[in-house]
Amino acid sequence: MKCTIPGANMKVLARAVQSLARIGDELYVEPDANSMSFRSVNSSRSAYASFTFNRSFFAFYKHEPSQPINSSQEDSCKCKISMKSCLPVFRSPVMLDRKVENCKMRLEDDGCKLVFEMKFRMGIAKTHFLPVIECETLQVVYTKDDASNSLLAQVQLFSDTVQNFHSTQEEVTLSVTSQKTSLRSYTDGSINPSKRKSTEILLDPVEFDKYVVNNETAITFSLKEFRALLAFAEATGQSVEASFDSGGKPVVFAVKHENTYEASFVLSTLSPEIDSTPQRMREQNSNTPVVSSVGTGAKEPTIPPNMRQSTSVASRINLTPSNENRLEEHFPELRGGTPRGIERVSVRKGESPSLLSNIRSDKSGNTSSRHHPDQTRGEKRSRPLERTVNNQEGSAQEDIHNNTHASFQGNRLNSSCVLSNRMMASNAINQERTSKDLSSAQQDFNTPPLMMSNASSVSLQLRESDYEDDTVASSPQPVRKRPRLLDIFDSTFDPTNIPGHDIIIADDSGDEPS
Amino acid sequence: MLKYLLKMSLLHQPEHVDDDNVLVATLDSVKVLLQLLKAINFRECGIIFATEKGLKVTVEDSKSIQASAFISEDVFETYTLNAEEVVFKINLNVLKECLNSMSSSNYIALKISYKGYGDSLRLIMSQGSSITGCSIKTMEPEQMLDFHTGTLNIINKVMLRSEYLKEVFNELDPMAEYVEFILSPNTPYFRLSTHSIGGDCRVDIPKDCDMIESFQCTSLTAAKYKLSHIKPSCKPLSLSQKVSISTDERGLLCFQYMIRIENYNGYIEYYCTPIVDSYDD
Repeated sequence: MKCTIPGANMKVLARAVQSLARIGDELYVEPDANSMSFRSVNSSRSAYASFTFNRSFFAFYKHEPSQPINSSQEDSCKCKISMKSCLPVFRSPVMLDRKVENCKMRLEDDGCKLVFEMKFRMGIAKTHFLPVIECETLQVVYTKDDASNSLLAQVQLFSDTVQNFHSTQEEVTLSVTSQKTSLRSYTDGSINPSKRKSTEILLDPVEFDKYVVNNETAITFSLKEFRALLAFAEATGQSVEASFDSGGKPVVFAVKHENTYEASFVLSTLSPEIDSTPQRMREQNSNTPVVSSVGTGAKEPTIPPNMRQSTSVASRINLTPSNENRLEEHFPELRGGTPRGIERVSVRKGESPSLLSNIRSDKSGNTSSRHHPDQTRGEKRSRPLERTVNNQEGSAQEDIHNNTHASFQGNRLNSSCVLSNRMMASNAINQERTSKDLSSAQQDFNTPPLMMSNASSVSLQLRESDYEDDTVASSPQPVRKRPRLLDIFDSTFDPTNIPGHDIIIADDSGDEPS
Repeated sequence: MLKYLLKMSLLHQPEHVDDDNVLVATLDSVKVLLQLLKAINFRECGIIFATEKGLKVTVEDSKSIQASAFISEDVFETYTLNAEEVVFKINLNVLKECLNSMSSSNYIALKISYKGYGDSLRLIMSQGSSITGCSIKTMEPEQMLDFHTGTLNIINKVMLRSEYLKEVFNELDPMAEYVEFILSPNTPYFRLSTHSIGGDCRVDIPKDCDMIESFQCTSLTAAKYKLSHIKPSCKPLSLSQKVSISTDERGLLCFQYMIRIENYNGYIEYYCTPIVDSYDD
């Protein structure tokens, strides 16, 4: 792979790299026969960004696999480099534009180094040799063309709107109806309501260049990544298009410049309402992006094997029913239908949630919704109740999910710990990492990767429901049981009836009952 | 007029107490002195040498880098030295602070006096109707590295325009520990290369590049320096117009800065010793 970027275009590339740096820690460089892509995905795999530069962007472009076409060597030009090493190359875009005459980019023959050769106006030549971490590619399968909603506007509209939000605001909710669009700050229950600041901005459809709303909905997505996109779009003065369906499905923001380059950011959205009927589940399976990384064998011998990402990313981020197989592997006792009581006792004891609980809580969301296909939206408040009732009917598998989910609630009762959204998401990943099953990863290939956000959304809503408890921040609270939960527990089982209810199986700090 | 009177009063004052001072200097503007001190102040303390040509302030660190600023006697309004050479060590931060406090106003007259070994350095400044006196304790001067023992056998010498070199230096990979300087009469002429976990980087400056004023290289020299030792050389760079980089056969790197502030010529010298190759790479 060899190409030359003219000085005038260096600014665009620099902005793109800087925008990607706000997403993830690694940069995937993927040359193609006619275009070159720069991609990145964030550590929780909830945001993905891709910039594709066409041939016309380059002064010279030559893509040649270093070896004759051979399935394993075909991707030899594709590589992953560390963002940290890449950033100094594009340190100041303004200066680059003014001073750089051209920049040659090539992959060294042995594939270990990505080389940037920059020629400055003064005659100075600067050569960066960036180590290739791995020849790995990042593939995200998503479609934005058949999204039911699509908004196109000048970047100024979006950036002016986003400017109104506080810099610490993490998520925003975009709601669209055919008459108006609103962007408002999204806060979860963990913030003291008395300290919370809400911002909402209403936008008129007239302000958009294209306004297609077939499905009146609201999506909640991360602001940080959106800002990264806006920073790029603002620098290049392009318009931004947002395509989305509904909460829980990814939103795609796209910036396009004629035939030269295009950027798309795929952000996961929280599912704000329980609207995942089995029908929807299937839709999700087919429509949502799949992030997967395909390793083609490392060229860098210095990296220890355990550092390599040989398993598909999908395996990390999918929290779909097919993963339950894996759970069974990890918890063989589940197969036989563990006595529920044991789990319940631990609930009652307010067992601190293990890392697992976060994932399971998500699963319980899925499974419960399968039991209630007719469940409609707007039942957000009553959902925890619904779910817990489902738990009782569920299989042993679901039982443990629900149990852990419930234990999480139990923990909340003691108000001992509040896990942040993000932590949970990353925990979820860590957990999934432990199950390295390539074959199941392959199975999961078509399942939604961004479900993780559901995991956090479930917990978010749980917290929302014990809102009232949080009125006094940071004061030790007596163990207060919410009446609703009490109802659930009392009506569904009596722990004293269950043999072994008085045995403490796990200590408060314990992860797994042995 | 006021300024003149003040100056007169200051100048007159010393005449009857001048006898026991080994060094008396008066200054109209502290800017030159202050800027030069700031440029070399990478350590707290420095040694001031006073000779009949002017003052030389030297700062040294870890016996490997040394910066000296030369303030010629024509920077001063009056400059009297009653001894062969006066040497003392002083806390430059304190001196800088004292000078800084007065650099803000325009009409300033400053008198520096030093009575001799063991005494403190006295500064008297008058500004408007107020007179401020400072006395800064001096310290025992220590032995400094002398890079001039035996005339430097300069092999390669390049003169560059400072502003561009500054940009190059500022863009050196901060993660790198060492930076290698290669000077050669053939390609790559002048190369700076760094090596770090984030990747390798090298900057080639060709001989005919606009930033190079003169290029005198006789044979190839390559030496490695600690990046943290090169960093202090950036400060005088931003002050100077031109810089000359030279190396001798041992790899000793010498920067000589030509500085012009308010029609006065200042001069800073910076020495950096190379890292002896440990053959581990």
